[in-house]
Amino acid sequence: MTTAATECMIKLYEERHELEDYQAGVPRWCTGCGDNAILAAVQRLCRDEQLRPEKTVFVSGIGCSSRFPHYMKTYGFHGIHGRALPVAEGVKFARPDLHVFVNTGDGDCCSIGAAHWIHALRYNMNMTVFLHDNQIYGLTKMQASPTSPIGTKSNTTPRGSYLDALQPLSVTLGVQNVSFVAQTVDWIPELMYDIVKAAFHHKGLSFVRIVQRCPEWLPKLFDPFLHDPQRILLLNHEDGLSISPGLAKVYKNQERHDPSNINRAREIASANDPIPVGILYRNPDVPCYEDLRASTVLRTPELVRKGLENEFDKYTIWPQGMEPEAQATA
Amino acid sequence: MKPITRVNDFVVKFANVNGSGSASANALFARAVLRMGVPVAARNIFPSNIQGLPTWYEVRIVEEGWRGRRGGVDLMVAMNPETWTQDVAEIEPGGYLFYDSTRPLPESRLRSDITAIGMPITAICNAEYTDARQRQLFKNIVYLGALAALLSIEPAEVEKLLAEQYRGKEALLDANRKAFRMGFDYETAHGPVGLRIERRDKVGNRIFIDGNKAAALGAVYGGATLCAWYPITPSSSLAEGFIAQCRKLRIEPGTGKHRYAIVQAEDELSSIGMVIGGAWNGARSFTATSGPGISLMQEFIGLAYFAEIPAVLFDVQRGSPSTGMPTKTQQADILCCAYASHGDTKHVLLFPEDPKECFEMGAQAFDLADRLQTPIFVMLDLDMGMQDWLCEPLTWDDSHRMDQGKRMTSADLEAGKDFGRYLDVDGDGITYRTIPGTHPKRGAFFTRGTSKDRYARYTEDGSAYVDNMQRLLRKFETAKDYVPAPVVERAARPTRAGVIWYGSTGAPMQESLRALEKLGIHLDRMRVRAFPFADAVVDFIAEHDHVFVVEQNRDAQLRTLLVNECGIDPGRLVPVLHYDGNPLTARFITREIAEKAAVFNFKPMRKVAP
Repeated sequence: MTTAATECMIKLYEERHELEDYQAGVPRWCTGCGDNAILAAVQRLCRDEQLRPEKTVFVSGIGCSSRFPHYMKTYGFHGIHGRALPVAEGVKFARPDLHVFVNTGDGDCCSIGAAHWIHALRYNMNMTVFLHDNQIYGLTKMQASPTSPIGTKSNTTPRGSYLDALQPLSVTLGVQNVSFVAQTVDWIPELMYDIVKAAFHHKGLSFVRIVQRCPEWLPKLFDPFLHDPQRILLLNHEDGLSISPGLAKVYKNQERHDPSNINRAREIASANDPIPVGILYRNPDVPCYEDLRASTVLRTPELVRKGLENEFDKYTIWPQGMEPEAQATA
Repeated sequence: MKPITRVNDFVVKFANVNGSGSASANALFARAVLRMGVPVAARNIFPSNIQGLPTWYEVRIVEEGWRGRRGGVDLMVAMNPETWTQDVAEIEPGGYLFYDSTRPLPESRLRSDITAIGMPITAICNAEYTDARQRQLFKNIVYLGALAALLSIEPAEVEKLLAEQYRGKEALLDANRKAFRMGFDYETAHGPVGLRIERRDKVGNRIFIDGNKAAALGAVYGGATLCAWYPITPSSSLAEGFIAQCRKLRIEPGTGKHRYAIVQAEDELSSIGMVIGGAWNGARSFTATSGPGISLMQEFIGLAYFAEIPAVLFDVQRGSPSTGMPTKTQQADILCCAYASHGDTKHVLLFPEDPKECFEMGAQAFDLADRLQTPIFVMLDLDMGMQDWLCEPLTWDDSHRMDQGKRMTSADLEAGKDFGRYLDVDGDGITYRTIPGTHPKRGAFFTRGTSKDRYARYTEDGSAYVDNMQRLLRKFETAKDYVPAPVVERAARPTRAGVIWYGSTGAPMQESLRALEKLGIHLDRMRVRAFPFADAVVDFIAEHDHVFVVEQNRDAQLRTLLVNECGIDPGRLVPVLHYDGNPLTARFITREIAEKAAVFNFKPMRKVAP
């Protein structure tokens, strides 16, 4: 059967994807795990943006959060520990037309994958990176992670962890070419959605840290923040998030923050209490690596053939006097 | 179908939901049987997940003391509705099914050839407890009570175990004892089944311990002071065990000073780097990891080989390649470790067969590392690493002194002895080293991954390079004298066939050999305990026409190593391979060997009348 081009266009136009079209299987995360909230927001984003499932890729590393792609009915790539970003970069390089998302955890990104994290920010390829930060290793059963608060008791640190927690936002904001940094918490769905959406629409690498609960290993860590809305600092700005009246009523602790102000963003990033939530930094002018490297010349088949033939000619042993140069000068 | 009747020889399997608190009740069951003097082989079968997925615990009650899985299930304790169909199907004909009958089940969900024993556990717990968590947790203790009644386990033994577990927590102890009694009294009214546990004295002084814990203890006894590691299943509990033991055994009395350092590094690369740095200074250092970690460490392992720095690596092997099956067992890192890193490298591997050897080799590895100045791999696997095994008590000879290997002392240097870091003074390929701080003026040397001469000076001179590489080969030869020797045992009758195995494969092997004997197949046997292979390994193979090599990987990795390193005709080494991730059973080995033996026609070893 053949389909006329116009008919095809109409079909494409009329095609509509529902939430179920992005949902694959029942998530195997613990009840109350923040990953579930992130999944819900991302599936909703896909539906609202009508992303074509066959042109959408979720890339992950290893860890609880890296199971994320299993539950998306899109292309998924569950790679190896700490290496989600290089895989995602390769995908984007070869297919800039795909929507690329990365799901990584605090161990995956900030510990074993830290080198790739820095360089992914420098590349600034157009993709959306979610750092699922529950501040503990879950899958291997409770070891401290780089973002565990100092004093965290775990199987590795029975007397409490020794080092101050690494602040992923500060690191991110310290890297050349950073172009989008936001933070949210897993327990405010409206904000999570708004931030995920803003991240998706940014052209460049958008880095979203999601402060999330681990009900299994650190069940009480964020209770004080859940119970006291004053301990959440909402960042609002006409160039950032606009806060709905409903949300503003609950979360009165707000700051007007211009996302183009990187110095203030760095100050905000370094504070943990109250937890800043919103868009810390956005700079749409940072070029994407895939664009920098894209050829400006239209690569027609003729152009490619000519180029190849020129290359082959270099290796040809011409009979004397028959060299192209000789002919040209003759 | 006649119900199975058996005493002290059957398999009970518990089907549970991961994270439902069943693990400790199931372990109590196994320990209660042990307290009755009857050996068990128990295994957790669990998914790579935190909570909510199916998990099983299999207890083989076996008076004969076999340590492998048997295969098949005689009594299924089916507590997970999700896996019901599969669990019920697994029961042997004539077997038993114990289940929660709170919600009535249609006949179609059961089987006519098994005995189903329903007990309204949920109803009992809901009536007794109000708290949701208690209702869930005590279900496990209630069914434990019921099983004690059904299988004739002495309740006093379980109560003793409970008292030990909840010492100092009287409220918890009373609650558990009560739940146990509820289950016990309920089923006592229904009478015992055909499967019975009778008191024996077959456990002796054996202990029930997992290999990771034993290896961690080995590291403590071996004098390890630096552990750098990164969390990975199934090795995490080894490093965590080391932490626990050091807190008990390595704190200086009086000052409270820690005589150890444990670092959870940012990844495996960093872990092995720290180990190499520590060991270069003379500290006994190790890392614990699994296949993916070994893959990451490759370049550093090459450095340690070429720069000759001691290091100990515990590799608790899991289902592979890549992320593979993280909670399943395999022996598939043999080649990857033997030849780890690029270029011409060979490494010493130790193959413990059970937790006792995990302890012994775990300690010995540090002496070997210092003696041979090279990385030493202790090859555990998930089955022996994470499962409790019944084994001989761990023993330690207090007269043992650490072998710190060849070190040039300050006095040697002062006396003007010629120090060349890579100078083979004794002809065994092992050279002398100095530890930073040995002497104020002499003995310093430069460590590098680039090629060097006998005095550690950089060189690209071909003959100096070859000289060094040849010496490394000589050193590897020397290693044969230091590593654990293979264990050889002759068959009851003279035979031209043999069998080789290593590591956890030993668990079902003895049982299988017994079964094969009954089939008239007699095999001489050798358990390989280390690489490089001792000459005895080559001799053993030479003495036989055919030698089976039983291992738990797809590609017959030990066989490849034997062929490659000992120049053996591959046709004489017959692979027997099991690699589905589950522990090997004697039934499997017996069937495979019997089938292959028929093809090779081993039986003529029996005297045939002319």
